[in-house]
Amino acid sequence: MTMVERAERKGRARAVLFYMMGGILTVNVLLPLLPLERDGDPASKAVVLGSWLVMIALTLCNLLPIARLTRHPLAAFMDDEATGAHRIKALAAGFWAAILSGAVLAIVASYRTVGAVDAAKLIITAAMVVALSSFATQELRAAR
Amino acid sequence: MSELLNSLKDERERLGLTQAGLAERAGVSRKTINTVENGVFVPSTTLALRLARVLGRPVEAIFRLADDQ
Amino acid sequence: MDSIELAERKSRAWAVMLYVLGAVLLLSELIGMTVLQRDFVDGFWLGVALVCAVTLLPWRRWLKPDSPINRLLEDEVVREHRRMSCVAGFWAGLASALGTAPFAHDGMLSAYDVSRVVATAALFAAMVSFATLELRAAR
Repeated sequence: MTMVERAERKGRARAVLFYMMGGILTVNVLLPLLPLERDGDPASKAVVLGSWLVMIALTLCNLLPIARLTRHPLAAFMDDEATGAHRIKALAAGFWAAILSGAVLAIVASYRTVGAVDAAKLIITAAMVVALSSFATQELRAAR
Repeated sequence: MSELLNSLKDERERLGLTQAGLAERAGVSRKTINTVENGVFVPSTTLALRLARVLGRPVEAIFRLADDQ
Repeated sequence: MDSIELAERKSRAWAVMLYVLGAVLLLSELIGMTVLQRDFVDGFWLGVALVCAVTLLPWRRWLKPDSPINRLLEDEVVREHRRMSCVAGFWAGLASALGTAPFAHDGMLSAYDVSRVVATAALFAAMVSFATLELRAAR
């Protein structure tokens, strides 16, 4: 298998992983908001919050051009111009998702009680999920 | 910073054009010409070809890879 | 004045306006959260925030794409600067959301406050970044 083919395979796998991470983040942030989670004890809530923070940190690492810091021969193929452009567009989409989700939350918070920590998590998750999905979609579309 | 080197300024001055003059002929803002000349902005292929056409030179005479030195 | 010079003048004025709007947004948020917690200040912040969001959109390209001046004001470099500034806004929004979390825990901040802080940080970072990139390019 050539380097280009290997990079293409890994790129596709990365895109699928990004979709999965977006899904997991969404579930992770919505689950505590459901009624069945409301009576959870502080310890389990702390575990959920902690796991969410770890996932956010890992996801952030994936949205940064870290591959370029390694000298791995595949890095140049997996983080080339097109990927860089996709990343910028994805983060820009994440920016607008953060703004919009903040706006929606501000309106919802006027009518319903929304926890401040939940609000922060929802905004972060919205931004990350949109950025991840956008990045993954662009990468897969380019690889067709 | 950039992997791309260019002699856009030299070519522009060869024709006695200001940045604004070149910008007008290429249909872009002066900012674009300025940032391309300074190596801050890497032009798209379209823009590079347009600049080459305006300057009457082949595109590879104006833009070259840094490791071609 | 030819179209290049006109576009350059408009672009500089636009960048200065972005700085001013960003400062107004930040100030209204700080004032609204501290000394003057009034509906009027909230409404003012909302209005400024909406205007700030609109300034970051490529409305010139949407409204009048064939205008020669708009083509210059929305060329490759400007599009690149806009994308880069939205990226700056993304990171600022994320950092501010993570930064407010410890304060949100003890009930010091409401969900509404968190939303406003994040929106302010994101928009401010994006606008200042956009304005700086534009002015730097025009030097």
